[in-house]
Amino acid sequence: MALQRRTMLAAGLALAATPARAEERLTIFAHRVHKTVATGAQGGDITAAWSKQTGLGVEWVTFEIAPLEERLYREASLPETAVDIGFVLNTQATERMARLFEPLDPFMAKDPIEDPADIFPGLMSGMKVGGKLYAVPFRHASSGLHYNEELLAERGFTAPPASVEEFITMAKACTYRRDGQPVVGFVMGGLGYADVIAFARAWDADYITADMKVVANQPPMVAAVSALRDMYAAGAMPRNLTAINGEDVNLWMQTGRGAMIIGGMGRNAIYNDPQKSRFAGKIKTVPFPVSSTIAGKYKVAPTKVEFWGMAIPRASRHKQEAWSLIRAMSSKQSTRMAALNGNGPVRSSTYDDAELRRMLPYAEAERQVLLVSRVAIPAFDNAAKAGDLLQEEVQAAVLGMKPVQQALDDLTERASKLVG
Amino acid sequence: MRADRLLGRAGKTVALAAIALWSLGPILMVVSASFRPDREIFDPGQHSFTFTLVNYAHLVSEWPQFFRGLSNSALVTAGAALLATFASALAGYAYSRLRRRWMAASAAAMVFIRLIPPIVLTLPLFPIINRLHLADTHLVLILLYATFFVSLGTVVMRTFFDQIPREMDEAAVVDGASAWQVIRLIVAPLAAQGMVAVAIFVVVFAWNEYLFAFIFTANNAKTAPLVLAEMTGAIDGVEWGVLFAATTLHLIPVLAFVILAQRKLVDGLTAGATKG
Amino acid sequence: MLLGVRGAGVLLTPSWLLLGLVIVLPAAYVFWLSFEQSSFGQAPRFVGLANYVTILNDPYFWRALRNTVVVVLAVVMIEIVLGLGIAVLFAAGIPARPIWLAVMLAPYAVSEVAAVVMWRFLLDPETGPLTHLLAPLGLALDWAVVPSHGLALAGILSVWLHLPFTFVILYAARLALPGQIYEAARVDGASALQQFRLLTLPLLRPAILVAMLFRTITGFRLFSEVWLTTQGGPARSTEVAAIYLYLEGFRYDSFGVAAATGWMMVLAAFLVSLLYVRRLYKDMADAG
Repeated sequence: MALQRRTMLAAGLALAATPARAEERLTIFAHRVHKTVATGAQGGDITAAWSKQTGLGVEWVTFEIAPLEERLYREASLPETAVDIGFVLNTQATERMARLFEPLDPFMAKDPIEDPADIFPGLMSGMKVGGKLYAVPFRHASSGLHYNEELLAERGFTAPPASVEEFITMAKACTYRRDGQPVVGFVMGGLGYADVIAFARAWDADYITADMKVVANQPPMVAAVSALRDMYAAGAMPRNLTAINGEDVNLWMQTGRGAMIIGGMGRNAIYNDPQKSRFAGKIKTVPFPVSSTIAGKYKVAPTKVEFWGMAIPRASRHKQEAWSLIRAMSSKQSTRMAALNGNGPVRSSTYDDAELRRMLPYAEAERQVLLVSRVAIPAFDNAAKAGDLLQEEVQAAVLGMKPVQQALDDLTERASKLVG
Repeated sequence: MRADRLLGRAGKTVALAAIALWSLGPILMVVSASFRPDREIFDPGQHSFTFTLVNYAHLVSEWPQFFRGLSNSALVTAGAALLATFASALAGYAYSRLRRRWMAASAAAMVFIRLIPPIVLTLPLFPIINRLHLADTHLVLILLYATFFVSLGTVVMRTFFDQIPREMDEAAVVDGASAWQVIRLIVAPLAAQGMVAVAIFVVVFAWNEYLFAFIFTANNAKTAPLVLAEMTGAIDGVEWGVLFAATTLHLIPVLAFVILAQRKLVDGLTAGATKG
Repeated sequence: MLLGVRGAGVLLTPSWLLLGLVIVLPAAYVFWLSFEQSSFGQAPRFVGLANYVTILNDPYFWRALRNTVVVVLAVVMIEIVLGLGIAVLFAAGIPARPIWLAVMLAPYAVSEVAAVVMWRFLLDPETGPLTHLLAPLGLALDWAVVPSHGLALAGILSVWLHLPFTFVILYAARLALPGQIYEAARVDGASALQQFRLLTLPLLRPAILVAMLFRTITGFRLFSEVWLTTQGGPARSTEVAAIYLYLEGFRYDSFGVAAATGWMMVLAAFLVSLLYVRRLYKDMADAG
């Protein structure tokens, strides 16, 4: 009897040790939004045709931004990894990325992606380290203002705010109870550095400038964080916002718990998804308004743009197949489909597509914003930690744990050590 | 005197009611709410109860990964329980039957080992596990979970074996039984109780464990608690019903198990705590 | 001799193989790692006590440690008091005892994640039943905003999940006490309270000590209760030692620092157990 049990155990262990069907599919590590825009309903699944052609499946493993970087880079640093494609953010384009991911120029030379010149040159160069390409751009997210026109109308507003000052007033006014359900005027999740900086750009504020100077405690940023504190104290932002994840705020908009939100303009498709949203067709997207103090210099807020690229870990076991999938996902057709799913397309030609412009009313506005927007923080090795520091100090300021100026002074001091 | 006893009885009733509310309240709330539509869950003022299975239907259609998580959990739990009970039984018997100084020292070492916080071990284990191609497999969780109960299990088993006098083993040998036969026919059946106790610990732990699953699995071997945690982040505050349905499905099996096996559990806990 | 040394060796192998590979060797490695500066793609570099100095100089480490100690001490205290009280209640005689035993054991079967779901709902600021119950009393658990409330939530979760364990230890010990001594006390005219103070408490001291030690040591590993609620926020104010370790090791890739933190955790747990628990044990001995 003991012998039987032992053999059963051994068989069970052997079975359990084999990762299920690992040879039949590629594994992608990405942010949830990438999977959403790659496999959405409106445009379709951009990997489907490739899968059918090659007979290989595609497995998406998604994370929030910080965990994604953590996991992906950890996997990429191993001698061998099951991850075949990893989505990398523009802030990660440093030596470290070059060390861990495969240089793509040889692949481009042999089997290039469709019309590389069509991809916005700024995005392509943003994915290069030391002049060599390490990732193919897939998504850019330029922040804009999304608002629920039905909720706004109920509170007497027929048009989106024309200035950020008006925005603040509207956010407070749009905080009310609707059919017993509480609505907040301005939804933001977590106070992550990307969202905070995007918002702060309404004052043309910066955290770390392109030449690596920390300017978090300058008047523009102080004005922005004070505005956040003001709105939070007035109840115009979710009370438990530090416990809400960045991606989960989508649900707030879809269920009408939030009136306005700042975020990648492509999310318009997600908010108006008739399957998920109770307000499909009612959520509009416009460029984020600027502060009246800089209205002369900017027509629309130079919000943050961040972009993502697809990279192949050097330790991947299926590099050829991964490149083939990357080619498929970056084709003009795929880019177009992803745009319909709510992605910010990286190709100029996509913006010229007539049908797209018709279906995505914000497309032109997005191109406007793309012209003036800049990255949230520059790329350097400690970018992630710098982002975390901003989140921590801004949380302290917004929740009233510290005065705004002091929080930003502390932040400047701490971030300077990272940058130096 | 009468008043004193009446007060005592009233006091006990109040105390028991409080205990029931505290222990069972949250569980019953989640289970019952899983059968109510979100509309009702969201409005605490509403006291109607509309029975519906829509949350479970939603769970099946929108969150298939949860069911994959449940089956992963089942596999890992069964494997860990088998391995831990097996290893602990063998070791417990050895510690019970053979008394040597170095044995006592190694038994003490086993106890000390339990003092190390598991999270500390994740740092070195991660690269090792990856190098062995064990990342994100069921086997890695089975091995980890079983290991964390081997010390406790050995102590429990030794306590149980100690209750079986050695003379019985020796009498059987005199009667011509081989070592294996003694173990199989005399000792093992009597020690089955101890093994059940150890198995209960491991089952409850492995089915519910979060930290190791969080760090060592990503996709293939994702267990139910991990999927549940992700769902909490995703739909907490927005789709309570589905979340409650998933929570209910996760907690019912082991809750039933613990209630049915409570006698063994108590025996095991006391043996492990007082003698360990 | 039925079991020889060789036989014992064979029997011990599976257990010790698991323990050695999964715990002992990695623990030794972590000890070594705490003296190195190590990160991805870099070869480890010996830095002596630098990592320990770094964390001892980090106010966040001290805050995490303080948060952990405060929560652990509170939780252990509450669990002992409740566990003892309920054990005495059970021993005094209640109807359908097995049912009530099952009721007490129920939370033990529930996972930390499921418990978080339950309590997050109960205390949800808008829809939580408990929130609504407490509101007219002017009480609110603003767990995502006020750090002490966030830690209180973690404490509530911990007590809810682990009270069964503490209770069982104390109850089993209480059951082991012979009934005659209580009979004798009653005959001598001792009240229930006197019986508790003079008989139960002193005789249960060993079991109380065991329960305290266990819960202190395991309590120091507090992670999920905080991670799944506040994540250590807002602004890292509810961070506990295990989260500090996780961030250093897995998010910022400072393996040496994380390893050092791990050993500091072990040390702290050991010290707290030794000093605090021994103190309490002596206090009880003096009071009893």
